[in-house]
Amino acid sequence: MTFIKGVINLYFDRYDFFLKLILEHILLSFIAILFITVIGITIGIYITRNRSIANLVISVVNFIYTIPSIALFGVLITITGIGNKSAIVALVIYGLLPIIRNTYVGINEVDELIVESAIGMGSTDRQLLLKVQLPIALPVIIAGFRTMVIMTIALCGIASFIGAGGLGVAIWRGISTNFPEMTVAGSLLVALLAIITDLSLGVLEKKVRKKILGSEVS
Amino acid sequence: MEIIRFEEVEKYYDTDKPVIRNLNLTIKQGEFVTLIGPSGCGKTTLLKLINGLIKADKGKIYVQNKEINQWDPIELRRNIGYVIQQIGLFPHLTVADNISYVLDIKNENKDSRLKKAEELISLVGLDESYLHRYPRELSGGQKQRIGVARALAADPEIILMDEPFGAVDEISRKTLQDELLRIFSELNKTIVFVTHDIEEAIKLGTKVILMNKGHIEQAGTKEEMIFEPRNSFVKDFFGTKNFMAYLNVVNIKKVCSMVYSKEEIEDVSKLPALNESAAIMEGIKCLFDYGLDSIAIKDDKNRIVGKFSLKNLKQGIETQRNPDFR
Amino acid sequence: MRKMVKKFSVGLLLLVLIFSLVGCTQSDKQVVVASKPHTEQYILAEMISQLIEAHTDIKVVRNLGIGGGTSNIHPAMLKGEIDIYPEYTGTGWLFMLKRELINDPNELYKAVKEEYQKEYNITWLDLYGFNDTYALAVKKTLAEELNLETYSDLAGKSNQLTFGAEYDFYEREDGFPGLVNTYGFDFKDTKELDIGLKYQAIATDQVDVINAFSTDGLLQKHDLKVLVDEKNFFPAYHAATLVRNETLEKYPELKEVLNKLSGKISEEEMTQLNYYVENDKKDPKDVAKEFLEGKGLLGYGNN
Repeated sequence: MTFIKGVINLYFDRYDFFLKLILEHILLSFIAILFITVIGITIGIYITRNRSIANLVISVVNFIYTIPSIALFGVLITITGIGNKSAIVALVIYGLLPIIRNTYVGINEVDELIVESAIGMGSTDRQLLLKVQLPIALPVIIAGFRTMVIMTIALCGIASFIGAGGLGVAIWRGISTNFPEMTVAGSLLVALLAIITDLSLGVLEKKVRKKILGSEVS
Repeated sequence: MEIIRFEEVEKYYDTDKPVIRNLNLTIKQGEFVTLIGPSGCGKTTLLKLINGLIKADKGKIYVQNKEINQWDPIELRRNIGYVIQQIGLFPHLTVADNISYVLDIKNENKDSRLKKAEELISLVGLDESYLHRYPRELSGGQKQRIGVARALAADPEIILMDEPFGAVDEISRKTLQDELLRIFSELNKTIVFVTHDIEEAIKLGTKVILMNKGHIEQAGTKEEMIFEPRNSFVKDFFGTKNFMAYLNVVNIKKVCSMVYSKEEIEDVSKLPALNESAAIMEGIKCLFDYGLDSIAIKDDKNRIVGKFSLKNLKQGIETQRNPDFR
Repeated sequence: MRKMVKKFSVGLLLLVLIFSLVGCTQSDKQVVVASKPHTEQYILAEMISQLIEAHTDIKVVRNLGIGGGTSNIHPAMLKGEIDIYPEYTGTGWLFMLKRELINDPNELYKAVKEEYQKEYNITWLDLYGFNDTYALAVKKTLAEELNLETYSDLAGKSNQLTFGAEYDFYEREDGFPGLVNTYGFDFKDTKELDIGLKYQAIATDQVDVINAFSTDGLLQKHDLKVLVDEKNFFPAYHAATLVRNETLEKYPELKEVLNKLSGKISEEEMTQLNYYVENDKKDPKDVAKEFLEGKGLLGYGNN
């Protein structure tokens, strides 16, 4: 009980410290998410049009995903150095998998008869993609987006390991100075951030599902 | 005027298994062509060769007098209506947007598209209120009508239909067939219609094409296919094996016997009459309803054209069994 | 559909904007101060940062707690991503330069200072005044009881005592085996302990002797005494500030400001400061500030 009290006290005593960390965390995650979304969806779309390399790309991304995040961060230090920029690179590498995979699968899963219909009526490839495939694949893509966002927010907590900002600073500080209340304080905020974001995205996902598929359940 | 022509067309899927071989075909403008044949005969492939979804390996195909390789495939498809069995309506678009899709990809504005959709939805016999609904809210039969409407949006000269009514229940199918005939008579389109249902093929087609193993066995009017089969395959296909089709579709005029003498005409005029355009089946029903041996056949002006009895029917079948092959 | 395309283009614009912003946070006068992820390092780095902020107009970017410690800070420093951080003579000599151990602490300092200049273009400023090296600790009461001052004293009484350390210490040449060689320890029993539980173990008398670091805050808490390594078995780890030569050239005023710490922190004082953070849960920032103020080093306005 005193432990929890300690954590709460910490929030009150150092609210400006935590506020700064929260803002840093949000900014870092946001930038990473932006890059991931643009790069990931582009690659995802590209490999639906170039099936020959689709397997290769997905295997590579899968492989990266299995590398423990701390290991990846550690390796990146030697290449990209320390700090926020390095952290964003790591977050982007990790976040690509769910987006690429869901974009690829989402587009491929569009009923091939619908695709045949669209082509048979004289759609160009671009029209097929933008007017038919992407809208129908949207629920799947958004589900992947949601996974990616939560994962990025959580992973950003480790980013301070390589000198980046964000709530990880509190977590890491707590670990390296034998200050568990600090660790928990930082972790709780990360979790809170993740939960709030997840819930909001869940609402968005439901709305999109309803519009495209007519039902809120997958 | 010729609108589609196939010259020595061949298509292979594996190197020695031809799906289409030595195919020659001419379709004139304004024809309603039904393509029928056993599974794997190549009828769907032939259809898809017309709008370029499939490319021929050998031979030439002409659409609207232009060789198909000279066509920009996108332009070609936008000028040909295409309806498939599972319809393939876009679930994320309203009925209105579905119908006017071709116009959208041609960059027409929203208002003119909506107008066209309104026009077409009443043409296919559905209420305007459906325009704002989504495909998932429609029944099978309704979806098919929308599919047809969608194919008509760009006012194409040619419409390709691949077993469009196959997935619909019988009652709806009959209604849809009648609707399609009505639309066909109102507009001046050329329709190429693939089906596996003989009755449907005979009922709808002004020209019926029977395919087998990748080539055309015979192409002609329904009467030619039934009464003048070119070989035993055609005969078996349309002949007594498909007796019901024959009875339901062929006009009673074909099998009634002529009456010439005044006395005969007088006798016949006492009998209950049936219009010459009725199907043989109706005649049979009439015979049984009235408990008579024969009934009279009259034309639209109420003049006697002939007499129908079961004897006529037997004679007609006999002719079928021993046709003169041409 | 059009909405999606719009959103993407807006997103791209934001991307470009943010990128340029992030890139542009390099203002004119600034230095990056780093530290390893240990309590003592956080405190020292804070002292360094606050001195710079108080006496110059240079902006300080703090990058504290770099995972991996020296092995990641050093390359970053060579690349110019880090300008200043606190380091230990033993670490620099043995692990970065990988040379043979020099026992005399003063010689060690001179040597590592010279080599760092030559090899890395990095300057070792003046020593703070404390040695944070490996230590053997016993309870103060036990030390009084058995008259323990040096390691040799301990060796004499070792057959009555139990020794506890983490697994690594027993494996390293410069750990337990080396100690035994040099001093002839013959402990009644040796126990393997988890690093985090060592202090608890000695507090509850599960063990009599543990290995520790000479400035551990918890030494105070549990009333432990650090014995004297009179044969200088353990290398010296005297602490000082390291600065890149390029940085010094750019901001020559830094030398004087940072050398205000010269000889100002004793072992007891460092231990006390560590104690404040680890035990009293004070913010290293505050602890550093109080210390500097107490020593009159912040002297606002003067240079």
